[in-house]
Amino acid sequence: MKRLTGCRLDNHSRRAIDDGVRSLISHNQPVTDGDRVVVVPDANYPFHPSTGMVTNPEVVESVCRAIDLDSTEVLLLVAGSEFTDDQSVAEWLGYRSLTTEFDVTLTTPSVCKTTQSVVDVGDRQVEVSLPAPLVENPVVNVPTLRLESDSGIHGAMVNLGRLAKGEGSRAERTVAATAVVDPRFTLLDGTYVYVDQSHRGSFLVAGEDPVALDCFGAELLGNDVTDVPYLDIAGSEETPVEVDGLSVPTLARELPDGPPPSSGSGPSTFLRSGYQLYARLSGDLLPPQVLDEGHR
Amino acid sequence: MSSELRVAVLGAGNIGTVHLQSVEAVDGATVVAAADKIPGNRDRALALGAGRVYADYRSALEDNPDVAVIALPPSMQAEAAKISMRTGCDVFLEKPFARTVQEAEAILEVADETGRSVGVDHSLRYQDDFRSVRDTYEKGRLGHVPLATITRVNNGPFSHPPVEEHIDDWRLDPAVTGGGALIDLGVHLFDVLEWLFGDMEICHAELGSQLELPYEDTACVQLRSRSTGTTATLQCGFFQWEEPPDITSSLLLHGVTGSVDSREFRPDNFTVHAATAAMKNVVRNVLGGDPVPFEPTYFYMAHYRILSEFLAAVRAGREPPVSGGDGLRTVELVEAVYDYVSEDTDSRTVDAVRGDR
Repeated sequence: MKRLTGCRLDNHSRRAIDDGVRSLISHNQPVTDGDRVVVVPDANYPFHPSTGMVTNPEVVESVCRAIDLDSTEVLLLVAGSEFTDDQSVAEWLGYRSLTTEFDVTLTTPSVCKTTQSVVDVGDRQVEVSLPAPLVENPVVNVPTLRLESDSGIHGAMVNLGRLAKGEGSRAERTVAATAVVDPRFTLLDGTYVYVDQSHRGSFLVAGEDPVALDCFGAELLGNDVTDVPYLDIAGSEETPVEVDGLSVPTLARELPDGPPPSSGSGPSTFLRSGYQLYARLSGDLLPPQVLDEGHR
Repeated sequence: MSSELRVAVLGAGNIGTVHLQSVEAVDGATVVAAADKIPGNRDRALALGAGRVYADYRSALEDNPDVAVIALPPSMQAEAAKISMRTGCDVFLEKPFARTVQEAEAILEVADETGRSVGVDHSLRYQDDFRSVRDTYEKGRLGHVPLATITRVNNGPFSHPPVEEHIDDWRLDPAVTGGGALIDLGVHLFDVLEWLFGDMEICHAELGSQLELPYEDTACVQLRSRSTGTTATLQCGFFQWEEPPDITSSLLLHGVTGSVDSREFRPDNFTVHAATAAMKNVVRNVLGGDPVPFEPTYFYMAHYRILSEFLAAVRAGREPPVSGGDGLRTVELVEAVYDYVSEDTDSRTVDAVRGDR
């Protein structure tokens, strides 16, 4: 049985978040004097933190406040995605400002050296490349919890896995990255959670094992772990989880129902084809969104 | 001017493509050239009927167009407009008309020198919902209107999930855009308010940003009409996930005899509206008539209407329906807000508003 600890937040004030983060950090003792730790939020895109689509920077700020920065060097690793560059998203989400308030160093994968590792994933060997600071230092992983069409849930493991480049499937790279990195402490930010809608979750959950954190996330969001590819590969069926301080059924009842977003901002292929047929029959013009690839 | 209006489309991105197709749908007008620095956009323009395509807009002007439709990033618009007019073109500019009053006035000075027409794509005036509100007001159905609220909120340069497109960097560079949501969306709203109530003056304004952006993504402006005494509240923002055709846009007038809301005049269900409009267009085509361009899309139809009226005005030698002078007014109001906020310490500026997290 894997044990996690969690807490509900009475509100989202700085004090409430500080108190919650501090209680979970003191319970888990993630850093020791003289450590250099890497803090990894989910900053995949400049979504507003209240959407639950990114880690709430105020939670990361509370982590910085809870760590003794006189004796611990903190490296804040902010990674965007293929749709936005790392430096910009760090600025827009307020992480650059954080470095002026706290003695922490901001870095991004684009300026880090990388480390190659070969990991046994199931019956395959997967080679992954990760930013070197992630591999060389203890990590404080601070994901948000959200539903995602590709991976089922996006939580602790995907927050590390998305930083891995290399061979294999996304699920395999996620499992490999989690094996290579030493996530000394994972703080799952549930201040806001994204299901098919944004939801004010007002909870935090922490633990040492990212697989256990994602099993908690899967259960909370109503996913069977065998339906989450990377949890299935990680053999998480054998990882029963118990959370002190939180009632998972109560949290689950509060969540909105619905599927994850499965289509892009543009119209579906069906709609595009239908509109093109209409335009041929009527002689009408085609909006840019429904032009086919040859015309877009 | 030749019998057929020769049009160059400068900037063939999203809205430039709408303009290009709109021109092709206007009787007696054709796109002789299009320009865009992105190869894919040029390919699309060619496929949609542009005679020739170029990477540099100046090259498109060498094909002797009568009209230049300019849908370039704001930092390029003024220069492109001036060059176009000096080569003999009337010009139709995408909003914002200019980044600053100085730029806007420079465009109009060249228009005066050359005698060319200047139009601006303030298409809200051509949407049925806003037209219906104005019609109700103009007929006196509301009596005196002391209060008005106009709103437009979208996701600006960002996407909603799942993200599938890279952010256009220039859209987050205030040196290119001239500002944030106020100059991008607010100009439309200023235009509608002056269309309804005449000259407006700024009473108060607050700008904010929900992320640490280099400009405002949220604006709330209070204005007063000098002629009607109406006090209006303008709200615009880049912060909301938008999934067309559902968009957040409204105009609400409170008069002494009643109120009117633009949303009352919009289709209840855009899917049903699109299907119905599509069916009508198919029938029109089968019966040998012309389709109503972009009718199922509702919002793009307004862009077609304003551009086709601009081209008709050019052909007839009339003043454009939405002129460069109207464009200048919107930029004056934007600049007045920016000046007001920078001078008034009670107004909150970008860093002060971070919203509820």
